[in-house]
Order: sequence, then C-alpha cells, then structure tokens
Amino acid sequence: MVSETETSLQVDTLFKSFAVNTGPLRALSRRRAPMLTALDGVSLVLAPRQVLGVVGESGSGKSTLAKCVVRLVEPNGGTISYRGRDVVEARGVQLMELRRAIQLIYQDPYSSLNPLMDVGEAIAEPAWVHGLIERRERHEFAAELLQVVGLSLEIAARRPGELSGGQRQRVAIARAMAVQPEMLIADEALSALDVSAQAQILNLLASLRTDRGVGILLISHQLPIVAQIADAVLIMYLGRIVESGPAARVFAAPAHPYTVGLLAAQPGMHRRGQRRIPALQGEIPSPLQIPSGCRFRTRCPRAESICAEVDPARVEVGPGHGAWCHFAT
Amino acid sequence: MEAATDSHEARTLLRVRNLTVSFPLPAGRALAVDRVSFDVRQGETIGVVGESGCGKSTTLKTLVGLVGAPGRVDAGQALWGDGRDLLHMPRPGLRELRGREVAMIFQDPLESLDPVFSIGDQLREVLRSRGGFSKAAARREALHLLERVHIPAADRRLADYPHQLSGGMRQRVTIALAIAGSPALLLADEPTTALDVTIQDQILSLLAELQDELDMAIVLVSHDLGIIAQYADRVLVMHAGQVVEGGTASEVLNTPRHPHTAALLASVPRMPGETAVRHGI
Amino acid sequence: MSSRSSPYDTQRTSAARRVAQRLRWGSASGRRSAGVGLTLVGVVVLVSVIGHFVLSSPTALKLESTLAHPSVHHPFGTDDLGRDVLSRTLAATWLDLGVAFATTYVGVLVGVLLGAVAGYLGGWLERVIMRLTDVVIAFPFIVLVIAIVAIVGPGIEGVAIGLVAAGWAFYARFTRAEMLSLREREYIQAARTLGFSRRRIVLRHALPNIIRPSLTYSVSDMVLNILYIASLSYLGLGIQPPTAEWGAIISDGQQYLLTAWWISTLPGVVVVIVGVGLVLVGDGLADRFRVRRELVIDTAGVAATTQ
Repeated sequence: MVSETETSLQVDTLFKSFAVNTGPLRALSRRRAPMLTALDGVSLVLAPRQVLGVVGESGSGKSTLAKCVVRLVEPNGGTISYRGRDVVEARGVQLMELRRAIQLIYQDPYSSLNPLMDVGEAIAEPAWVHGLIERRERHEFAAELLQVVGLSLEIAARRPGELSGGQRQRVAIARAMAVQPEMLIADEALSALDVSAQAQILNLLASLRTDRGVGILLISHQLPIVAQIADAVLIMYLGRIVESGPAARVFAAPAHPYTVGLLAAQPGMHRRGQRRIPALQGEIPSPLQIPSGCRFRTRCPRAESICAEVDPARVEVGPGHGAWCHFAT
Repeated sequence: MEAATDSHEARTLLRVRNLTVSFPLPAGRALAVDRVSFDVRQGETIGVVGESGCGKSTTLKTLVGLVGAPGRVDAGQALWGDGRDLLHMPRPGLRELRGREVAMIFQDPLESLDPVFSIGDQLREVLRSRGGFSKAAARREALHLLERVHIPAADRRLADYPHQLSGGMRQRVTIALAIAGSPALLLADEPTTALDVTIQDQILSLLAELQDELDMAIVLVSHDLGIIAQYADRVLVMHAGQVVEGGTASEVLNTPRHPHTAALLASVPRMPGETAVRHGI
Repeated sequence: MSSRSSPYDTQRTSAARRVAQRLRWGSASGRRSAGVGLTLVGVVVLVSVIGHFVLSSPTALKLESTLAHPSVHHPFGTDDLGRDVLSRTLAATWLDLGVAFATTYVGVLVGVLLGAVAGYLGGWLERVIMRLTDVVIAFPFIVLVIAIVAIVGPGIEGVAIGLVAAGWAFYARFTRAEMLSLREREYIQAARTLGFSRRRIVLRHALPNIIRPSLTYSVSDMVLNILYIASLSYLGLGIQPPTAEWGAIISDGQQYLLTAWWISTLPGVVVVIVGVGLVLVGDGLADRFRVRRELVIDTAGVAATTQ
C-alpha cells in the first residue's frame, strides 16, 4: 500500500488575505490598508479517482482556493503539497511538472480560450511544450483528444468564436487533458452552460475519473451538480469550511444550519404555490468584517449568545462527517 | 401554440398572436422569434424555458418595444386587454403603458440602473414622471418602495449608488422601480441567473409576495426548470424561436409531449429529495 | 425553419461558422475602402517601378530645357535645372515610402515589444520602460525629431533615427495598457497554469491579441511619417539634395510657384494620393478588426436562430 501523502493533493490550514487598495490617498494615511480574508485555515485532501465537491456562495473563498492550488495566487500561510512535494515553494522544472500534473478548468469558456488560436493548435500546444508529443504529431494528437471529449474532428480547424459554450468548455477540458494531468480543478466549470451541456460535461468529468483515474476538485455554487458526482463535499462560508463529509451523508443529513439553508434554497425543492419564507435571510457579510465567534451567526436561524463569543470547533456527527457548529449533533 | 385553458375565470391581460421577430444577417434574415402565441391572465405566472439563444428574451423585449433596429417585428399582434396592440403603438402611448401596465426586470441589475444617480434619485424620478407626487411625497414613497422589497435600513440606502450595493440588493432596487407604477404585468428576464442560490431564493419569494399583493401577472423567463416548476402556473417551452410546447406546469413537466422538453427535463441535475421537477406540481 | 432535435451543438455551430465566414472580411464598406486605398497606393508604386526603367535619371540635368511645361516628353514638366519632375517624383516615392515604412514599423516593433514586456512582467523593468516613454511623449513630436536630427546630423540616417526614437513610445504605452487588462484574462492565466514559459505566453498568446489596434494605427502613423520626412527636407534638415525627395522637390519648386506651378503642385498631388490611399487602408483594417471583434460576441446568439 502506498500512503495517502504519496498520491494525493493535500492542503493544510491555508490562509490567504488581500490588502484592499482603497485609492491613492491610502498612501498618505498612517492606517494600514484593510485586509480582506479570503481563506481562513482551509484544509483538504484530494486522492486520485476521487471527486471532492466544494460548495459555497460567492465570497466564500472557493475560487481563491483553486487559484492557490495552481499557483495563480500565493497563499499567506499553510501548506499545499502534491505527492509529498511542496507546491507553494516549487520553482523552475518542478513548477512546470506540477503545472502539468494539476490542471485548472475555468468558469467562463468564452474567455479561457485564446480567440486567435484554432482549436487543434490550442489542444496540442501544451502537450508538445511539455515534451509529451513531437510537434509533427500534434494534429493526430488533437484529433484523438477531441474524440475523448466527444467533439467532431472538423472542429480542430475552428476558432473559439465559432463554437457554442458547451463546445468551448469541452475544448478547455481537452486542452487540460492534453498534459495528462492527475488532478483537475474545475472552478465553476459548468456554471456558464445550458443544462444539456452541463449534463454532458458532467458525464465527461465522471468518465475521466473512472477511465483515467483523475482526481477532481469540483467547485460550484450549484448543489445539484456536486450531488451528481462528488464522493465527498466541503461546504465553505466566508473562507472557512463549515461542514465536510461524504456527499451522500451531507446532503441527506446536513448538520450545519448553513448547509440546511443552502439545500432548502435550491429551486425545485418545494411544491408550487407553497407560501414560505426564504430559506436563508440576509446576505453573506463582507470578508473585510468577519463576524466574531461563528461567522455564520448573522444569518443563522439558531444563533444564540455563545455563537458571538466562541468560534465553534469541529463536531463529529457521523463517520467522516463533521460540522463546525455549536449545536451540531 | 395555445396553452391549455385554466379553470378559474381570470381576466386575460395580454394576447400574443403569431409574434415573429427577425434580425438581419449578411445574407437574409434570422428568425429570433417565430410565430409565438400565448395568453397572459391576471395574477398568474407564466414560465418561459429554453436554452440560450432560443428567443425567450427577445420575445419579452419585443413586448415592451425594446427590440430596436436592426431587429424587426415581421408579423403578429400583442393585444392588451383593452384592445391596444403593444407592437403598433405610438411612442407616447407606449411610454405610458410601460411602467404603469407593463414593467420589466433584467438579469443584470447593474446594467439597468444608472450608475451616476443614487437609487433614491432614480426612484423619485420614476415616481415624479408619473405625476401626482410632490417632492416630499416622492421621497416618502421611494422609502416605502424600498421597504416593500425588504431592503434593510432603507432610509440609509436611498443615498447609495448602484455600485455600492450587492447583486441581490440591486435586483431588489430594480424590482422596486418596476412596481412603482403598480403594473398589471411584470416581465422578468432571468432575474436571478446572476445571483447566488440563497439570494435567488429570496428574490423569487419576494416576487411571489408582490404578485399576491398587486394581483400582478408575471412572465418569468428562466433556463432553470427547478424555478419554473416551483413558481410557474403555466409553462411555454421555446426552441429555435418557436414555442414547442405549452400547458400547465404539471402537464408540461410530468408528461412532456415534445422531445425537446423531455430532453431538457432529462438533463436537469437533481438533488436527493427534490420534489418539484420530479413530481410536477 | 427545419425541425430540430437535441443535441443542438452541431447545427448551431455550423450555422455559426457560416456567419463567421461571411463576415470574415469585414463589412462591405470596409472592404471597399481598403480596396480603393490599396489600389491608389499600388498604382503609384507600379508607375514608379515602370518610370524607373522608362524615364530619364532623376538627377540628369538638361539645361537646354529648364522650367519646361508639362508635355508628352515631360508629363510633369521640368524644374529649374531641367530635371524631369515626374522621374524625380517617382524616384522619391521609393525613398519616402521606404523610409516611412521602415521607421514606422521599427518603431511599432520596439514599442510593442517593450510595452508587452513591461505590462506582463511589471516590476522595475516596467517602471524603467514607462518612465522612458513618459519622457519621450512629453516632448512635442517634431521638436524631438529635429533635436535628434541635430545630434545625428541631417540626412537619411538622422531622419530615420529621429522618427523611430520619437515614434515607439506611443506603441509602448498603448500595448502596456492592453497587456495589463489582457493578463487578467482567463486564457492568459490558463497559459500560465499549462506551464508555458513567459516568452511563449507573451509572444504567442498575448501579442497577437493586442497588436491589432497598434497595426491599425500604424498605417495612419506612416502617413504622418511621410509628411514628417517631407517636412524635414523642406526645412533642409532631412534628406539632402540632389537626392530626389518629395519635400525637397516641393521646396525647390516653391520659388517658381507663379511661373512654373507644376514643379511643386504635381508632386504634391502624388503625396496626397498616397496619403489618402494609406488612410483608406487604415480605415479598412480598423473596420475589419472591429467587425471580427463583435462577431466573436454575437455569433453564438445569432447563429442559434439561424437556418
């Protein structure tokens, strides 16, 4: 048996805050720039062949997490390691190899492809840059990958502007697959698509996991998408994980009031004409001013005085299922 | 396509018949809306579903005269209850109708709010253009409108500019602007697509609440069948500019007759325990 | 409308592609103006090639026929030294277009590369490059060129160095600004996460996407450079006699304007023709780029409803 560290992506108590630029006068004032906390001690483990869902509203820190893992953003604290190697400190050849192994798929297929580069070129370029194929093999190689993502070969000669959103996202996935990654980070990769395209891309991701053993970090604000293929889920709120566990358990028996609210807010969860109040009141607070104690308390229907004072610790509510709430059982 | 007749006898607000809208291409014209017909009755919600580019937004925009050149209404009628045709109305009449009888909200509230005026200014402007409001009365009414759309600390918000508000708050402001004239019909074009699911839930609940208060009909365009299932009384499914299926929500969602509707339904990701889409009503 | 069923992707995009192909060469008016422009410049260049072989040398003196009226033998007449004005004008076409082209595009190359590097890499390199452009742009263009000519010395080298040294800064500033917004675009970030080198990202992924406005502008810039080259000769700072150059020819003929109008006027007409031609080419380019940019945004929506 190989140990988990040798095969998986591990993120340990990751912190990231940004100094907020409040204008040219800031330099004149003596006060320090306010800090925006995007990630506040996030930990996770992603194993090969596993789909880990990350769910939360905008402002929860999901995208910053993804960008830290692929080194588009430098974290302020904590560690990220892949197969036992430090991701944050990687340089040169090591960084290039890491960038090959961990691929990010972006939300917007309209802006993640170079508009001037034809599809075949876009797919094959990363492979020959990384020395995985010879340059002259690139047409065949692109054709092969187009097939994998379910696109017809004639698309290779087109530019992204001539494709639909679903087709573009497939091209983006093919380009990511071109470097034979071991881990895929899908950052809201399905959000911009029509439902039928979503279903197709979801199937594609599922087959990459089973056929190629790719581990997938599936970041989404759409619970149903995560529920489709995730083995485990993390629910994030204001830079923290508030609940984590096996997907089936978290969705069937949510332990954190935020998860309960998110589930209830899903359209289609209620009968038509049923008069009701919204599942969750209010909006996510500014990450510039995170509430004391439990950060969800300002919107929590169960909040009591202890919530303003004590930051809740993880409560084990089932096998591998934890919630950061004083009232979780 | 005619939607099935409802049992209760509500007043018909709007009859759209054979609406056809086209856009020019370098060669010929593209039909964005192709012979679309439907009725809207007082107080009901009509859900319009379809994929992007199916013509659902264009249909709505045409009804309030927002499809300008190079788009063109080739044929059809949109008869308001009193017999006036929305598609062939003189400018002043159309302006009066907009806002008083028909209002529209959009997907991106930042684009439909003027960035250089405070939201109080924008509300007051709409109110005063309707006449009958003194300055002080307009201010009071603006405040009241913000309270009706549940904006917290509304009196402090009046001086805010659109960029200072969150997406959800901005959409509440556009709704406040829309209901300022107590319209009989609200056209909502993907009003929650840009919002988080919890905020979407709040906005849709708000629309349902205002609908009851004002006995207002809503035409709700969405690509999300879950939303349609939960809020619509009747449903139109659009594809390539045409209405391919129409009927009550339970008919369309439980026993789809058109393969396109069936395909749309089949591709909806479902949550464990989800009720509405699966069980229709 | 044909009946359709899912999946829609293939039909939608084949329609999209047809729209794209139709629009690829821009609008009809853009195509027409570029065509007219290219024809104007092309005719002048072609005539000057033919003239090179057919006409007498631009510096050959013929003192027996000075200040001759335009005739079959001398379509543009002769000047005060009996030189054929047409052959001088056409020889000057080569020189002026060549120097203008070279100075403009060396300037574009230097400016775009420096701007792109500054915008993408940032840091001290960016500060140095941008301060330098600030200094260059702070001077009135022609004053700076004259100052450089004064240092290097009058003549073709002085003019060329002056125009390049004063001309690159605009492109650098412009390209840097474009690069700053481009580097936040997802496809540039994607290029980073795919492990591409910085050189590859800048040259292959970023530059082709930001160079178009510079190229469009460069055509009008070339017209200005032609005028500057001519102006400098006119002032006696540029290309020196007896080399045939538009500005010098016009300047020489000025004193005979009332008695031998053709010496200044006819070469002037040629300069105007070339200038108008280049401006039209620039217009056509701008139009084509604009249409294609819009097309990228529109295709999906329009095509979805196309047959």
